[in-house]
Amino acid sequence: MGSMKIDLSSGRLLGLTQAEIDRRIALARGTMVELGLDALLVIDVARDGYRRWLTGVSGPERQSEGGVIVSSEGPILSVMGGRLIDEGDRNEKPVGAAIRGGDSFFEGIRESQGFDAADILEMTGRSAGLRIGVVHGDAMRADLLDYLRDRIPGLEMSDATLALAEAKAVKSPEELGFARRAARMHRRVLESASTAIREGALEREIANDLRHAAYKLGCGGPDRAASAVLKLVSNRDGGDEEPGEPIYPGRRVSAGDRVSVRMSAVGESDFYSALGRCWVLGEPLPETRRLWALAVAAQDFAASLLVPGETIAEVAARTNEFLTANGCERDEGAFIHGIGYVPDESPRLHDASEDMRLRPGMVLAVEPEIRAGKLDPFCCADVFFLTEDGARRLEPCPRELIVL
Amino acid sequence: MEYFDGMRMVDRFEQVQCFSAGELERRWAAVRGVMREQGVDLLLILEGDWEGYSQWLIGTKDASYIIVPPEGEITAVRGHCLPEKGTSAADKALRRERLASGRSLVPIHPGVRYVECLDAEDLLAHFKSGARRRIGFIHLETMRASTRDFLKGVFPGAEYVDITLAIDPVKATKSPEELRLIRNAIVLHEKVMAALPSIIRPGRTIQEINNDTAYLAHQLGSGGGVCLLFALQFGKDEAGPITTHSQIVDYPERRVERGDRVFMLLESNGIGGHFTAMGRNFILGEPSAETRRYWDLALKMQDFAAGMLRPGTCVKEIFDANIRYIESLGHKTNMQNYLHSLGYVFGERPYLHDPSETIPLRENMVYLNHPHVRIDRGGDTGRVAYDDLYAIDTYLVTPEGGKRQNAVPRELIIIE
Repeated sequence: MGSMKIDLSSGRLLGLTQAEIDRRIALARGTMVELGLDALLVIDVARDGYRRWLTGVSGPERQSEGGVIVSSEGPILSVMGGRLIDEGDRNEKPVGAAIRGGDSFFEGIRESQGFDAADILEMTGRSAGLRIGVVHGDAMRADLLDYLRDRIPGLEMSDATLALAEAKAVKSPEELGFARRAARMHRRVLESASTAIREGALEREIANDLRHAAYKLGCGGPDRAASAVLKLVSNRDGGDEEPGEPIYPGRRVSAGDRVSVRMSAVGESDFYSALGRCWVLGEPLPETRRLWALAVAAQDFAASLLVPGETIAEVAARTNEFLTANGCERDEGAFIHGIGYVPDESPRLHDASEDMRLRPGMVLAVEPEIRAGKLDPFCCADVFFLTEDGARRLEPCPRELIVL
Repeated sequence: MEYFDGMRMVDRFEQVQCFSAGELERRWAAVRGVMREQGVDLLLILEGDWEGYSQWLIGTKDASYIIVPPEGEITAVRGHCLPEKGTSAADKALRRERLASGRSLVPIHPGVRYVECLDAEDLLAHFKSGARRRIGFIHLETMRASTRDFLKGVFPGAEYVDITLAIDPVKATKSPEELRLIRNAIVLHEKVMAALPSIIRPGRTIQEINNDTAYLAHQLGSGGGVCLLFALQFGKDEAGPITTHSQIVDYPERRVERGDRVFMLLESNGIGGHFTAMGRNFILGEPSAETRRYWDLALKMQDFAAGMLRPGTCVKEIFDANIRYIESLGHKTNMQNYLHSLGYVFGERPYLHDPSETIPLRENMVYLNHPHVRIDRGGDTGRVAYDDLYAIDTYLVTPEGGKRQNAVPRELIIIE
């Protein structure tokens, strides 16, 4: 803990090392070599947590603004705003701000308040014919595309999204440590949940208590709903799922209720984890015990298939066969996905990354839902890491149905 | 609390969906009035969550596009994808976007329809064949290249015009129903502020203080988005610039001790999601004469700005005049954006240092007002971007000038 920092803007602990930032930049450069690129341009940088992954810090992100540019050598460039800079306004200070620019928390990273084509050419040491790999090209702003095409003669652009996602998905020992400590934080939060889930409490009060517990353990950020994502549903045990949103002030928990909680919160060094369990206030119905056991079995089944060389699409398909064979509906959600700087990163179901081959070192959330009849779903959620021999749970949190 | 009775929760427990059908229709009519003034045949809102346009018009930030025709249904488009219908790629993209949002677009009014992606037929249905096509946008600058190509195919030769600045003052002028929600948020802030002397104690870390403050505000009804509930500045003024919230410092943290000044910001929403703000300085012990002097100067600047918060004035005029005022008192200010409207997000236009800064204010706009007086240390210490002292309050724009909306005394709050 000696070199640990705290980001006062979010309250999060930062343990990321310079060596880890250097490793990631080297990975990005390896991807460039594989694809024959002169530079990588990452836009929509909050998606998949790329700003944090490449620079170690976040920016005041507006989805359409900012980016990160990586060339084959020299510092990488972290673009914080949406300006398109030309020769005449390069030295123009950002309007209304007296904040010093150009400093980064880590070495090897420069910051700028906009995109500067001349700077990009200088970074690559070329004057024309640049080959840029774009990550998240689907989000490319029209004005940025025109600007780059106008000012970089012979520009060629290609999609590097999947290639970089594959490199990022395999976690380093340092990242695995962050993931493990985030998983432990979730275990502690849910261990404290038995005091939050109580007769007479509103769902929103329980949610606030769980988030407060997470914040005391290292979670942080000004948007509690995003920093500690919660799915929390209470219902009469054995009762039908209630359609629509409840009426203000929300549902109040009472004896005989079942409460399902799935939390995905950010922990040390901005790593997310996930954990989902089920509480019953009183003696559970036999059917509730059966369905919870099935939720655990479905998770075990899916996890047993997560081995190097497989894909999550294949694993999900076979898990759905398991669910239907046990009389449940198919789970059409994204119940297996990577997790790291965002609660849901590649590989994930229902996009191109679902066919990414699994490799040792990947960290995946596994959270299939058991839907039976009109009951609200049962979900046992945990985070696993992949080894040569298969998937292991990061934190051995008990998986029994919790009876209060 | 009877106003909230019968209202629907948002995402079960995150917020409360607070507006009457009549209020939504008022907003739509106001936007359509601007469309007529600007001569646009259709309005497309891009990145509508930024500055709260989506929240204001359809009650949620989870829409990638909003289509507002001159009359008839408003369309909320969930995803960015522009797939060819009926293909497996389209099905997959739609499912992905549904999952990525993690939330459902909950119907709030029969006048809003919900679709998965932009559709050429939907857009063309609003025009007669061969009609002139002038399309208005909010946030035109954020248009994606793929969206531009798509629209070019649908509306070849159409004229695009950004009408964001024309809509901003309309959105920022609050209705009686909106003012009621803001009142609720003000009361919430007053309660939290009153509790802070029991939270700020020697021996505690700033993170502990911040966490307890946010917890309390959320218990009372804040939440569902970014809420700024933390210490903006803390430390001992006499020792040089005090620590600000934007810094990264060593862990474990220094603990608050006697002699510290802790400047707490409460810039959050209340039940229903409307934002307001308040900020006060807490002194653990007796404030120094210098701290008292700068506080008095900060209040003078705040009063000066408040006196100008009248219909017809613009925030740039207030900012420029306030510079002259504080300099006449022998002090300097900083460049922060200290005058901005409050709505479904904590910063909405018109505001300083932006093209909207010359828009004339209107009666019943609600403004944050926190001018800064720079602490004179004989030169730039190089240690913090801003070294200053200020008060933060929310004001209603009236013909008589800005009326402060909270009842918290504007005093240094001394914690013995």
